[in-house]
Amino acid sequence: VARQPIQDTLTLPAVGRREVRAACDPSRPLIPEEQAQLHEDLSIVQGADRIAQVENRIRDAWAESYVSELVTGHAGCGKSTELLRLASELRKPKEGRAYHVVYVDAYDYLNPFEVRLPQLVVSLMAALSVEPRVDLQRTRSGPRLWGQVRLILKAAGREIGGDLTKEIPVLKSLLRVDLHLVRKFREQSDDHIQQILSLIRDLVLEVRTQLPPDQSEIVFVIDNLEKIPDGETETKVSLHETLFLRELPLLDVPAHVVLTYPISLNYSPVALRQVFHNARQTTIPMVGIRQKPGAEARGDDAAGIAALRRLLARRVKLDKVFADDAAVAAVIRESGGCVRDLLRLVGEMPTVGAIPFSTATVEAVIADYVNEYERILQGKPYLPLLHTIERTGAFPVDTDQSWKQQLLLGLVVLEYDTGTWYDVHPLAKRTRAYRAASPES
Amino acid sequence: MEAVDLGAENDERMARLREALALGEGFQLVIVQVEPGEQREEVLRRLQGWAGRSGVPWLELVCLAPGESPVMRLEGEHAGVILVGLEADGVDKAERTRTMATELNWSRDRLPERVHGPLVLVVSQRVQSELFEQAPDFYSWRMHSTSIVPQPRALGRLPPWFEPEPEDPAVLEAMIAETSALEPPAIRELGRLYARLARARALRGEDAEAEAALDAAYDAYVRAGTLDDRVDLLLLRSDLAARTGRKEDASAWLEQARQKVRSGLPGPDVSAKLLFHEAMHALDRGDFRSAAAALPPAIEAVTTLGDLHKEATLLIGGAALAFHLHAMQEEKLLLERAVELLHDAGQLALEAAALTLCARAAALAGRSDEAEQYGLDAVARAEASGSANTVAEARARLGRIALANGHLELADEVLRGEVAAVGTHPGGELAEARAHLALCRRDDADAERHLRAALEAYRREGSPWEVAKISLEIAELGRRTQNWTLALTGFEAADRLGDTGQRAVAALGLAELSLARGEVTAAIADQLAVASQMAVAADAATLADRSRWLRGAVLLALGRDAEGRMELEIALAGFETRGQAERAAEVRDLLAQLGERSSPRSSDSSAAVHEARSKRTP
Repeated sequence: VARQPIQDTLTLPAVGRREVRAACDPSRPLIPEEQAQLHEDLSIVQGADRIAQVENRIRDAWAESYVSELVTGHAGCGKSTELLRLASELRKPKEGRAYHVVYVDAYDYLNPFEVRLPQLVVSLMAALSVEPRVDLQRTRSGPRLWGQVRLILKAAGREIGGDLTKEIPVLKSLLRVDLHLVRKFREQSDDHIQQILSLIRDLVLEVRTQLPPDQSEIVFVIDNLEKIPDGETETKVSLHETLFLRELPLLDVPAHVVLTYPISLNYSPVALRQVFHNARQTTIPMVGIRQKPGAEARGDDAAGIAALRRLLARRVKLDKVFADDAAVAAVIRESGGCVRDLLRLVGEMPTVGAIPFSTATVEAVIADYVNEYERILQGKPYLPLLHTIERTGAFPVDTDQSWKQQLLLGLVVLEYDTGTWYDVHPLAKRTRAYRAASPES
Repeated sequence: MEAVDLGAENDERMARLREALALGEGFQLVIVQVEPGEQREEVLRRLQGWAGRSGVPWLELVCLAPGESPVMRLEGEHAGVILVGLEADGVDKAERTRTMATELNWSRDRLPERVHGPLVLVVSQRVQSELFEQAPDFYSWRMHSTSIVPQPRALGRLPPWFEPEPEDPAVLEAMIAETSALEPPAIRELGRLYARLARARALRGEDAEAEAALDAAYDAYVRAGTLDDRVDLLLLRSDLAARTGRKEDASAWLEQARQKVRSGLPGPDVSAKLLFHEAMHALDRGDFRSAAAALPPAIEAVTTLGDLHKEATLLIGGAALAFHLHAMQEEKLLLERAVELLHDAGQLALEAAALTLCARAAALAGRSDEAEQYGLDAVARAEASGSANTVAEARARLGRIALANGHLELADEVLRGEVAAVGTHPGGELAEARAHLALCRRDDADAERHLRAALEAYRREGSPWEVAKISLEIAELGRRTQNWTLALTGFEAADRLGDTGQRAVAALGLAELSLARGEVTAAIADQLAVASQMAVAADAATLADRSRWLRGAVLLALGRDAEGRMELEIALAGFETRGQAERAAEVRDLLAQLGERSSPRSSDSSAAVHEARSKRTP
């Protein structure tokens, strides 16, 4: 992500209205240069430092053993920030060992409406081709894999040149934008998939020989795969299940793979970690700001609120920007522990009130967001279910999967401490639609 | 372009939006939810007006063409963008919108590279829900979001006054204050009073107060109400949402009422009310198939309850349905039955209203004497009821019928005199009828005065179709009296607010005004092409022929003979098919002249345009 670090453009923690808004921009994942100043370690209130665990598992992998790390989380939980941090940490030499991280942003290589294994293999090849110190032409398997790809393309009705260095960028663009070609390519790949998989395996192995000895292990970080929309494949089964449960596990390369996946697959009957080799699933949860179900009186989770207060204090000068602690606590509570929502709410406060912001400013700023939830929730069949979740902290076993998916993806229900318990977003709880569906009403 | 009043609440939201845009740095995603139509046009006008001023970054309006990808359209670099068109058109619009939402979600991280300032998405509620559900990553990036709420407007299904006169909120508030002081507390009664207050406030267009009263009623029912009370309140919410044009909300509340009924054992009263609302909701949405299925059980249910008013309302709804199905006899019978019921119930104002509908039905069926008789009965009952709105509506209807029958004296008699309903929908109808009477008398100044009064009433009420209709009448009056400003503003307003047919008339009118000023340009030819396309879409064949005829002449004047000839030939075929021999002859003349000339000469062509125009103008 190439942009100027935020601390180079404004003084942090921010004090003025415009600065507060800029410092709390919810659409900026932290880049490595910003980590030191803005990253707050929330691991203590998220169950554990899950990204450090991913790093440790990679570093601890023995000899020829490679790990598959499957990462997911809600929109706004900080996936991209965490993956960028992971990449940055893995590149650092620790105990004499650093890793060659190949960051594959799915957006750069894939068309969201047709993502399947053959395209992913080509993506890995394309990503390797632009890595420094790597020259695919100097490998044996690179030109062979390219030859195979050309053959498939020809069958799909597209001729492409033999110079892979020159032609890979062309193919990369085509596979992103030409949906018709992508589909044909996938269809024509069916008979060649074993060869392609074998060749990409050989290629990765050969590429490793071109890297410095203390950095010869490769880690593919494949980001944004969780954004692939679900749909039906040509055989009328779920695309997500086909891709993540059947095809991607076939990708067996001599490298560690970290990839993101749709959170809805956490609730699939087949567990991802069972189908991938040496795999672990990691879900980045929200920060708990309310006590778990089972507590006598479910008040604030003091540790969660304190952690988010520290996070906020890195960006805005709390004692100048807020009238009192109550206002800070109020805005944190309304965020539901979703960092992006917290930043958005604080970033919006300058548009409704003057500094210092009071609890009244918090009430004013959330009004529009409550209305937004209101419009979206009204008439929804799952409204009574929300009360069960609020009360028990769990989805009943017979919950409709599509409802579950909608609720989690839309941040109506939030997940805490990696699936231990759930709660309804505080802003959703404020809607009339929610209140009207209460069993007591 | 005239400014549209968004209302105080929306103005406040717009002010916040402006502030958010001005405070932002670099890329920021902003979502503005406003339904397509007059309000959206106004929002876009304001956004464009702010662009590059008072700290708001430059904003470029990007309207997606049907089938166009938003991500592809944003290729390149933009300072700031207002993006519209995510609603998509056509039968697969839901699928298209879903695809666009997916694209935005997928490409989210690259958007800041393309848009360096605000990316303002102006979307409908449907699209906003799609983004929320299908594009959560993209949606979660929003830095600011706001919603422009519809302004109070008339009932779609029935005139707003076809119900008992609204209660006085002040009286209800006094009752609430007294009831609140009772010991032991009468919580359930308070809930009922708040529900009545909500209705009274909503009927006066005081939406925020109505909402507060609904919330208070809800709280009271949670404490002491029954299932029936809660369902009743949900039905009231649905009804009030329908009155303000929020059909999606109306459906949603109705669905909640259904769920609530299913979850318990409601009384027969509430079940009947639910059936009633379901039938009326189907009529409201123009879902005639569902309405036809829902009406009989609903009528049976309310008849069992002995609720004459609701039964009459359903019968009138059934009459409207029969009208749409061209079952005129059935319409008549249903309306007459409704009149009887309302008479038995002793509801004079409603009886008058139903008689007015009978008069309209008779007039539309060509039974003019019967229409006048119903109209006279309606006026008599309305006067006796003392309801200003009912009097205005009954008089307006009878006045129109008398005018159509050529009975100017009767029209004059019923339309004369002061009526207290100024500024309401019936007041608008009365002013409109008075304007027509003035036009019959060739009193242009009086006609303009009444048309403006009608325009004001409809505008205040928020009825864009009626506003467009009156605007077109004003424009025609302006053209006839050579008041070009009046004509221009009238056509422009209709072009902005009207349905496809009205916009076709307005586009043709605007093109003709330009021609009358001596402007013969390619832009006018394009405008006439749009007019003819819209006329075709609105099934207005004659209007389409006229547009093609004039466009053909303009193209000849521009030296684009081949295109001009084609347009004229299509127009000629249309005139011949529809038996418009005189016009067909004029087109043939033009085509003959075209055949004679060896090379295009703009002066001749201009004359042809002029000739065509002068002959065409009535």
